[in-house]
This record gives sequence, C-alpha cells and structure tokens, in this order.
Amino acid sequence: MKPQIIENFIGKKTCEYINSYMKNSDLLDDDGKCIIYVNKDSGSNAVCMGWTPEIFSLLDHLKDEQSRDSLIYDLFNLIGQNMSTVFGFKNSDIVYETSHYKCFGPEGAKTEGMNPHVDHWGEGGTIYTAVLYFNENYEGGDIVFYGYGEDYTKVENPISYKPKTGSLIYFDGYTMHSVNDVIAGERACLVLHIRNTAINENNFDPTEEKK
Amino acid sequence: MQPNIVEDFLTKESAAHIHNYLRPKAVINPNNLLNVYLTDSGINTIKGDVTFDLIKLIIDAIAHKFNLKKDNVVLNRINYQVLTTGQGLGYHTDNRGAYEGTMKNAGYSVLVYLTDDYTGGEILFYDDSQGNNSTSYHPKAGTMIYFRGDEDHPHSVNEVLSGERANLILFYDVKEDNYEATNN
Repeated sequence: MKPQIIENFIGKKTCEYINSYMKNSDLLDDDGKCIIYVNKDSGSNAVCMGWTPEIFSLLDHLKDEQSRDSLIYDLFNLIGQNMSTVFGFKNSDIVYETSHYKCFGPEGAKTEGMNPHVDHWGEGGTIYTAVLYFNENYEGGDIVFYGYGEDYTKVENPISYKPKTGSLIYFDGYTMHSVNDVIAGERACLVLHIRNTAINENNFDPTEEKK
Repeated sequence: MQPNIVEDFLTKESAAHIHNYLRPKAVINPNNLLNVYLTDSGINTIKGDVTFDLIKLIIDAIAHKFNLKKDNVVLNRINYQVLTTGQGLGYHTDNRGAYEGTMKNAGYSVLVYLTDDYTGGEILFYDDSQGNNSTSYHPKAGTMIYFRGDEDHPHSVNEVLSGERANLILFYDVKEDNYEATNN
C-alpha cells in the first residue's frame, strides 16, 4: 500500500482550535510532545518508544477533569475512531495502540526531524500509521517515503510531501519514512498507530494498492 | 425491539457546542418541525466551524460501530431536529428495510441527543410490531442510540412539555451483512 493522502480531513478552524489548545496547555513536554492515548496492554510499545512508566492517556485525563474543555476530548476520540473507516478495516480487526500530538520547533523544543525508520513493532498483527497535520506555515519538515525492499528497509526512490493543513497521510507500518528538519516555524501533527490483527507477517502484502 | 444505547458518545460540551451552533440555523420544515438538513451538500452550509468537523467525524465514527466493512455502510441522510413544547412524534417505524427490495439488510437509524434539559419528549420503543409493551427513554445529552430502521423497531416520541429537545438523526443504508429481520 502506497502512502495515501486525504486532504481537508479536518478544517482549518478545527486545526487552529486543536493547536492553540495544546500549545496553551501544560500538556506538552520539552520536545513539544504529548501522549494522547496508549493501549495499556501494549507493554512492548513503551519499551520500544523509550517511554517512561509514567505514560498516561490524555483522553482519560481530560475526561476526568471537568475543568478542561471536552470538545478537545471528542475531537481526538472521534479522529481515533475514524481510523477503521480511513483504512477500510473492520472495526473488530483493530486494536488502538498509541497516539501522540507532536509540535516540532516551539520555543526550546527540538527542530530535528526523524531518520528513516519503519513504525511496525511487536506481534499479533500489522501496525498502520496515520498522521494528521495541523499547520503548514513552516519551512522544512517534509515527510519522505522510500521504496520497499525485501526486508522493507530500502532507502531509495524517496518521495517527499509537504503536508497541508488538515490533511491526513496514512500508510502501513512497513513503509520506510523520514522527516526533514524544521528550518523555520513550528510543525504540529497528531500521530496515530493502530494494529490490524487480521493482517500479519504471513498475509501482509506490501504491493497491495489501496482500493 | 429495544435499541442499542451508547452513553457518553459525545461529551456534554460537544453536544452543547453543536446544538448552540445549529439552533439559530434551524428552519421549520413541511412537518412543522425545526430542522437543519446536513445531507450531502447540506453539510457545506456549516463549513468553517468546528461543528462541521465534529459532524463529519461523528458520521464515520458511528458507521464503524456497526462493525461492517466501510463500503457496505452508506450514509443516506443526516439532519438536526428540534422538538419544542407541544411537539412529539407518533407511533411509526423508520421503514427503511427495503434496501434493494428485501427486508434483509435493513438500514440503521441513529439518534444523537444534544440536549436533555427538557421535560416530556421521551422516546418509546415497543417490543413488537403490534405496538405492545413500550420502554421509555430520556437520554442524557451526548447519548447515541441506534437500531434497525425496520418493522421490528416501532417507536414514538411523547409530547415535549417544556424546553427544547434537539438531536441529530442519521440514516445509514447497509448493503451486505448477516442481519435477518424477524418480520417479512
């Protein structure tokens, strides 16, 4: 499956709303990152991502705190629930693994991108990733996809995208990709990982085109 | 038959946000009910507000609750409706079972409640198609209920005694699944 793009998955005003909510909250860490949701059964994931045991689910947190604006809860929650529709998977085949909000480049936070990597981890199904972009007024920060190799690790034939505000990019977890450094401005996105338990090593087909 | 009920499908704040945004846009339809039609291009009339995205997301989030493949569930219609004091809905079925002419594959009817600060206005579901034994519901704001829009799910809405009862009404067509209606 080649990376797919849905433009205007959400509108500009909603993007601005989410961004300003997150940036004005005390929820972002020094890297401009905030864990929105973690599947608590996914222990290997925490190790894989280098997270501390204090990982928490913002969704639970927001719901418990009446003082917070719950519109943000529904937006994150509904976007997550839309993943089965986006990928065209049966809901019963999906496990929600993790999601996080990440803002590259706000004051003090990192602007370095990410080296080529694949997202898949663990067993019991294939990881699929969706990234929702909240702004476009920055320089650099392209996401770059590479061709598949036999071991899914070929770094050739790069295709780079400059994501537009409100667009969603989704791809399977064996897709090698990287993110260029952010040169100026801030780049904010939401990263979601789901696992399709019906697709595993044996029946995963990298050449399958999204219908 | 009784519907499926999902409490806290939306938070109270989101339900209120949608209601407050749509209420001034509601116009009286031929049935004398306040409505905003949001089907197809109708939704474009609310472009620009967070409500637009919430409703788009809600449409797909509900569709996935049926646990059917994406292509087998198609939104037929969505509207926002307000019942004001003195208004109710008589005994009826949504009568949308006939996708391609069969009772098999009856569509889904979905209600998302946006207000709960009204009296009366309970929705009643009947145990059989003769209208016997009803169960009454006064859902909290943010609650979603869904049921097959077929002869097995007759329902009615009591007159609203005070306040305004607002909900989203969604009809989905279902092309292919294993559901068999008991009535033919």
